[in-house]
Amino acid sequence: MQHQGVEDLAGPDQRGGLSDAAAAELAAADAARARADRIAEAAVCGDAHALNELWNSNRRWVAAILLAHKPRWADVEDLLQEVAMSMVRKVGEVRDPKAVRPWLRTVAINVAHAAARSGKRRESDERMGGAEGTEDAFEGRGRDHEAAPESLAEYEQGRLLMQLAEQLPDGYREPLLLKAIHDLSYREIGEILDLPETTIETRIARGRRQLRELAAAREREEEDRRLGLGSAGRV
Amino acid sequence: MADTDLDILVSRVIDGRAGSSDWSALEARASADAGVWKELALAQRDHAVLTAAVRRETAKAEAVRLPRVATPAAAEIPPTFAFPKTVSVAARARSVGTWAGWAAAAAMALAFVGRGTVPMLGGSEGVRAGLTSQIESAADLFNRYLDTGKKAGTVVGETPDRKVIDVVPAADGHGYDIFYLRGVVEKQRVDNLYRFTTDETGQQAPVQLVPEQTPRKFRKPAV
Repeated sequence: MQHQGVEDLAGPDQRGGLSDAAAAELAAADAARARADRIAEAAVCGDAHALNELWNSNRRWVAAILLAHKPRWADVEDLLQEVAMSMVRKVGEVRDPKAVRPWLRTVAINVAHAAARSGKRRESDERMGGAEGTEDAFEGRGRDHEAAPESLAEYEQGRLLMQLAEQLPDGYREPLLLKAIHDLSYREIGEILDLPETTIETRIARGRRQLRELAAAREREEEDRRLGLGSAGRV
Repeated sequence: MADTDLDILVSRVIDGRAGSSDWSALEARASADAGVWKELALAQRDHAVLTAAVRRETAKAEAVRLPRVATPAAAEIPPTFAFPKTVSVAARARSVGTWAGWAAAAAMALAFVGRGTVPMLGGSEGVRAGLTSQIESAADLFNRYLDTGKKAGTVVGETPDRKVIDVVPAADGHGYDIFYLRGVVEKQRVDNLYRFTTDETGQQAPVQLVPEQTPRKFRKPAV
């Protein structure tokens, strides 16, 4: 069997050559990163417009970090507002403007953990919580829904995968959810998580595998339940 | 059993990063085990479903703006509550709703306002007693408006809730300026009620409501 070792597959860079798409992605990422660095520097120095731009260009992935760490009942929008408030108050304390993204991630994780500690249930509990609220939540997607039209079954499946993703280790869950936001490259995810690009690639790959296994196990349980088999029913 | 090599190949295909060598490796694996294609298909399906769910959830971020920053540049921006005239009432309500989310963060700062009361900033007793005061605060004048209106029967009271519409760090660096809406329920007596309907020619025409057809839609608010 023809088989490449893990070393060979560890990353495009290590294979000694890049595909055209990867090379173009790198060039675009370089330009975007240089611009992002200038914005971050101005924001740290107190430029209000730069601060707004910094927030607008990062709030989407910050929401993904919150998703990865928040308690299920907490509302992403509420937590984002807290992150925004912290950003306005403390961004001037960041010493290295290039470290703004990892700093913002830390702020988001702290906000999510604080929400978990507070234990306060909010209105979103009913909206995103039990299965009985699924149809209402589906109908209530409204302006937030940007993806292609989904059926109720697909919506429910997405919700289930999000719940299963909560069972993944932090190190896999974060890059996987960040990658689900299309406009983030492995390199950008690596900058946010302060990890090498090759590590991000490996974690995303393993995270996808683990999520698939969790989903398969869930499907088997559902099938057993439908057939009236208990946990001992399957050989 | 975990197969990291295959996982990475599948992941590259999903993310559109697979080069020719990756495809060759994948085809070689699949020629020995056709189940590889099924794994790829399932992984792609999961990715599509998860992506839709994550994008739906993170799209909420687009509605979350930073609190305005008090800088000379920011000071030139018109106040948030000065809605453009072209904005519909519904859009205004949505905008207020968006900012109402700041209520949680601003709760402590708002605590001084209290429920249904207005802070007395001096001279209020004199004003309430009908005495003239050379220096009246806005709060005194507002209270006098409420008291006088209640006596005259034109004011029912002030609504207990405040809608926070903006939070701005103070220009001097001490605390925050909170912008919020207060509501006053007023009352006016009219002789007749009319409802506008469209007649058979498409013209708007007033139709008088008889008392028994008039639903009691509005209750006196708890103030």
